[in-house]
Amino acid sequence: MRVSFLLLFSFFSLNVSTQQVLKPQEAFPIEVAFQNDVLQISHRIKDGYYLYRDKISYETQDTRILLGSAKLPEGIKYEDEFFGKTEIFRDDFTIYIPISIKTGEEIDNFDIQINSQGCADIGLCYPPQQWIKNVTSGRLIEASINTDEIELSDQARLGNIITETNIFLVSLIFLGLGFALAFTPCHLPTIPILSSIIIGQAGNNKLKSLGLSMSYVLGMAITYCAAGVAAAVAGQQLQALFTLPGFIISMSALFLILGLGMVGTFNIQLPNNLLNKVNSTLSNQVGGNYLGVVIIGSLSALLVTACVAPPLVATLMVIGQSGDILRGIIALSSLSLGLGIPLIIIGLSASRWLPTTGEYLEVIKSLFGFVMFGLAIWVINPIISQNALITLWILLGFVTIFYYLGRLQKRLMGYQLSSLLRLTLVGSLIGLYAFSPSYLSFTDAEVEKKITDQYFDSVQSLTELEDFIKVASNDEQISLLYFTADWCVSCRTLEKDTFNNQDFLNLLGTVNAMKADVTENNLDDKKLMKEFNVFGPPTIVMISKTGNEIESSRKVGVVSSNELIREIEKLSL
Amino acid sequence: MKGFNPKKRSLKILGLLFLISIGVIYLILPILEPEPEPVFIESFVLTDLNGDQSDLIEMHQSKFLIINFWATWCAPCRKEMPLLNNYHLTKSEDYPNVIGIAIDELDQVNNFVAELGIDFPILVGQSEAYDLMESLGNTILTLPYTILVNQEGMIVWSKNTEIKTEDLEQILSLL
Repeated sequence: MRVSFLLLFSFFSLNVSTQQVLKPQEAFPIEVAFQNDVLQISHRIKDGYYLYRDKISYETQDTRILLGSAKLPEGIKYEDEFFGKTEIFRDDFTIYIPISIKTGEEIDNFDIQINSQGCADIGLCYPPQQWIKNVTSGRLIEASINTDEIELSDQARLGNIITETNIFLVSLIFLGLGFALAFTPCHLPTIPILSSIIIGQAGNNKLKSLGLSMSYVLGMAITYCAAGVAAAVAGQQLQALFTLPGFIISMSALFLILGLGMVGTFNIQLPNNLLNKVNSTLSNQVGGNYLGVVIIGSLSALLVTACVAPPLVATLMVIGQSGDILRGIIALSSLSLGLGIPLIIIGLSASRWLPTTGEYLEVIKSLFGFVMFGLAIWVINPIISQNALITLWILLGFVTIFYYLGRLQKRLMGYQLSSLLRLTLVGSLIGLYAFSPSYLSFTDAEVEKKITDQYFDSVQSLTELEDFIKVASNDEQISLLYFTADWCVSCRTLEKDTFNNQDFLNLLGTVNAMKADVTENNLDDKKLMKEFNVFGPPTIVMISKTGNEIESSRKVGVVSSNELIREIEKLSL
Repeated sequence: MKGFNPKKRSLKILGLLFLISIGVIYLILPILEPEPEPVFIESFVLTDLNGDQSDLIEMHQSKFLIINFWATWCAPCRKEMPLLNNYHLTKSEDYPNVIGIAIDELDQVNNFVAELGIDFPILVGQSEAYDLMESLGNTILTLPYTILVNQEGMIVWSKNTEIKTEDLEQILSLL
């Protein structure tokens, strides 16, 4: 006994000094993109890691192309006790390098070598790294840093856990991960979904609610494992499925039907509808209950993939790439089990807090019905406009109040009082729409559009642009060309936060402000971007009074109002 | 309560399946994963500061030995050098010897050794020294990397970050 204890102790002291460190490609992930003859290189740096500025360089072995000069941003200056004055990078940064093609032909694919060297604060350094990245020009993308990439490296790290860690640890880690993820906001909807199933079917039957919760968790596990197998067969990009409008609409409709069933006001008769079948399996058919809940569980699992995405994608990647299906399945089962723990606890405790029968049960049941309606709106959020979303929420609020006023009427209030309240409610809803439509149609998107339409002249082609610049030069004005596109999310941020500033707008009136909408990416758009070596929107190009671009003043990505004001004032002098 | 009894059985089966699946997963897991193998140093020839060939296993001499991988461009490696050198100069006879393996150019290493006044033996290697470090347990190839091997040449302690006084104390407690 004592010996084994000592052995255990020595085992731990053996490993205690080895710190878990990221692989260089995880500590310093690099993303490259190429379009309009401009190469975009995004360096990401994890917290606690840094890169030496003077060790970063770019080269290519490809003789067909010539790399332009790369302007590195200023780093953090510090005095190193050994190396003297040094500059380091601790935050992500993006480099734009113009590429000239020697032969004059179209090149859509080449290799670039990125040299860098970095260290970690815990007291270690990586050897100088040479990264070879293949660059392909693809669909037009936004300029500057995309926050999604951070998740990608999370996936890479989890991927390593799956392939390289003890398999027992893998399952423990994913179990814990699942448990933690169960409390993230995007996974919380599963709690009301399950609660409403329990309240709708089990009442206060403890065994049955436990059974239902387990069926639900089983359903989730099936989805995740099926996704894993599908990934192994079909490869990547499974996630894209969950963002398809068709899927979103089906899920929203499912919640709507579930909600209607719980509120109990309507009876839907759509015999051939698949969703209705799901609903009817859910309602009291002998033997069908658990299967129905398994189906609902598997569907909810699809719904919440958004927050489960990093571990899920990591696992799917591992299964897809290494073919290690066993490890992947173990990770996925553990993840679903972890996700299911809080749900099973709810199932166990449901009978304690749930009312038995009567009016109170009906009220709770209908309340969950309205929660379902809320979920239906929440699910459909990505594919409808902000405007419609606000309207839906307001409508739901009104309907909810209207419904409960009706219930209260039976018990507490007189008929006249509650009728009066309901009338007031309907009146105010109509009033809200009729007399202040601006309130309901108020969306950021429209404000942004107004600003850009009002202050920027739209240019479609290079000749049009040259005409505008000529006029501006005659008036001794500087010109400013803003590249934007409908799909460009950073452009919306720029318009909402940066442009929507009175000082900036006043200044904009004194210069020749133009915008080029490259949504269509047609030949004219491409020519415009190529003329200025613009990687993608949002980019603001500054043109001097003499009609030449001031490259040092160019702004890529989201910048502050003050920065733009400073730049314009400097050039206008 | 309607329809409760007929379902009780399927419910029990479901619950049982659920528990069994958890149990099975946790039972097979440890079997699938083998215990980590102990790592031993082996014969490996590197250059010493005079440019002569030197074998790691000969320097081991079947005694406890501290091996420190470093490079001149690595700030944390530079930081720990005085500590290691001080240990080397003041240690008692039966304490483990230290050798350094620099993964760098010979000229730069010689300059560095002269500049800092390092007295313990230094071997120099290039990419083959990275391979050695990888085979000795540092798969991510970061520097510094310090290991303690016992009389049999087995690694009994390792650290992949800068060495501190506590680390040396810990090493001595393992003897």
